[in-house]
Amino acid sequence: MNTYQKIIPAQKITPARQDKHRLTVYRCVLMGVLLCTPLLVAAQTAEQFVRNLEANQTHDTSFIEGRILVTDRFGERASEFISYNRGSEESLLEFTSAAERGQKVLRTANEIYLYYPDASEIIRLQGAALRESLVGSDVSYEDVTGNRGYLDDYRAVIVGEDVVADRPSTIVELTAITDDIAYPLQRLWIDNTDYVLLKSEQYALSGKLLKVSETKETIRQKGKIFPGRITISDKLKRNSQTDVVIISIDIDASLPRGIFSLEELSF
Amino acid sequence: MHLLNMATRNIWRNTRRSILSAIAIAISVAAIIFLFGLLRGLEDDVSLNVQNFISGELRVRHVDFDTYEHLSPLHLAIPNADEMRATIQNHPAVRNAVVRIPFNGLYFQDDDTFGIEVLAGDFAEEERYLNISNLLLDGRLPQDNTNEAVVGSELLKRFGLSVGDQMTLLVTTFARSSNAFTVRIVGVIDFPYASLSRNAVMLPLARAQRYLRAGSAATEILIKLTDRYDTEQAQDELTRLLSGENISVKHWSEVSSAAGILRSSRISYLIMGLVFLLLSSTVIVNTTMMVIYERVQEIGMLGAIGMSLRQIVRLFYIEALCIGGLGALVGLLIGAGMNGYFGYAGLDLTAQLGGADLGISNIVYPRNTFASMAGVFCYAMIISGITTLLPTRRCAKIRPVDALRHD
Repeated sequence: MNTYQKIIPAQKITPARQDKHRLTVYRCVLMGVLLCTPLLVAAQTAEQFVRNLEANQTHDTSFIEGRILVTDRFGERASEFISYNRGSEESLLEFTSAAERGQKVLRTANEIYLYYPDASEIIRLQGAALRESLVGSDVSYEDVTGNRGYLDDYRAVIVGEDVVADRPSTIVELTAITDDIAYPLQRLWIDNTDYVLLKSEQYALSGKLLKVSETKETIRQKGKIFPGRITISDKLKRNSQTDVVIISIDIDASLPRGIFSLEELSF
Repeated sequence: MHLLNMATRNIWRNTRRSILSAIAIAISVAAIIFLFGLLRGLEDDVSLNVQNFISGELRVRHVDFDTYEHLSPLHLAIPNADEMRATIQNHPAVRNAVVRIPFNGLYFQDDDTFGIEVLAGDFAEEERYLNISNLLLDGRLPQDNTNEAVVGSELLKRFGLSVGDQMTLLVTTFARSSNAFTVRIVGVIDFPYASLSRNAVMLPLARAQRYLRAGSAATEILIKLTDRYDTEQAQDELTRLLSGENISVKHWSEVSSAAGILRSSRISYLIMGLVFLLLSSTVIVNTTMMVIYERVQEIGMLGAIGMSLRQIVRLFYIEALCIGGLGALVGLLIGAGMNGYFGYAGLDLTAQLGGADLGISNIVYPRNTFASMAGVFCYAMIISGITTLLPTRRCAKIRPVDALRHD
């Protein structure tokens, strides 16, 4: 096999010249390391922040009783629900308030299904339909489809520090690395101590602010701290705000068998 | 009298020329009268469709509904709509009143989502209001308080559905929440609007009220008035009658989209009519002038035997009026006859409309009006007469010897 070798005349490489050459290489390496280290540390920290946040908010299983309060130009109204959850991928939301009694939203790893007692078919939501509002609130079905971890779909970077509700937080900017995603850009305000999501902003590809969520109350249970009341505001709607309130939560609850199946959904 | 006799004799002297001239005028007049009848029929059709499906002659809604209409504010409703309808129906100005809830829904098929326009109404009332069974193309009308629905003909084709199939619709309720329900298609309606034909589902009011969590509320009451009552007076009286109910009574011309459709229709119909009138005028002018210039030698002869310029002009004027009058009369009979026939049998414009959303029914019924018939008849005679004046004067001024040599 022929190899190409660059031949340097031996008489031209003096010891002094060799030392000078080594020094230049060391300087370059050192400069590179010095320049890159903060970036590497920051990237790791951003990812760690996100992982800690997800670990805090995700439970093996949980049972939640909650309320959705929608306030808009026409007044305020409430919907109550119960929710069975397993990990970050499976959940079953069932409405218990009179106007929506019996309506269910089933979220599995890849799909969202809607069950309505007045309909003889189960609706599978896809595409543009995911942007529809959940019971007329500022929350879209798209917002509750985030079944994968943030880091599967986004690149995380720390962009600053802030104080939200007297709690020091780190602002992590998430830029989408996949196309099939509801929000190409998000900013998360993560509590520096408890890794609670204190605030988040969701942006369109154009940079337009679409939604803002703020944690108003937190719940501490079984060594985990997570939002107990979140205020969500759809910036495309005027004078509209939705509060999602967790009335009670049972972490590591035992769930009925087959609760996340289509058969159970229409039962 | 002497000139009239001469003119009549002249007409029959060259029968073929006179008949051809009269036929040209007759065709023009028949075409214009038919066109005007068709345009009148289209205008009637557009206003009827607007009143049947959009606004009524008067429309009753919650006072704030129109302001927030873009947000589909179903909760801005008329409570106890049936009671209010009964009150309205008892007013002497009201011929028919119907309670309706138009709302939007989502239909899911395969992996796609489609917007659907849903119209809920009481089918017995709808029969009285717009004779809905006449619009039925296939199947039957839904029975009261069932999950049955009728749909637009194009909607069936669009989704590959047929009578007997089911549709599940996701909707926003009066409580501003969401619900979904399933309806079974029992009939196909020939909606006059392409958008309704492609997107509309119509279902019984009581069932829609249940699914929309509306109770006895509805979003609008459409009113048709008796002919003898003035619309503005009826609007004022009904507004007073329903005062304190937080509702508004609007005349259909105030409902911008409906009035806009008719305004633009009227303008376009008028432009079409004028263009056609001008075109037919050129045919009449051309025919009359050709007849005069053909007869230069004859005019010279009349001058040579002593007829004055004025007498010659008057002779040809009378002759043209006679031919024009005959042609216009025949044309009027043909045009009016066509309008009468199609006014009864209907003129199918399905292919011509090509699914365009103009608010025009696929079958239109032309209508004769005395004004258009009399106007076109007189117009044809006047044009025929006037167009003789200039060429006849010019020909009569030519010296008889030159006129006789004219080739």
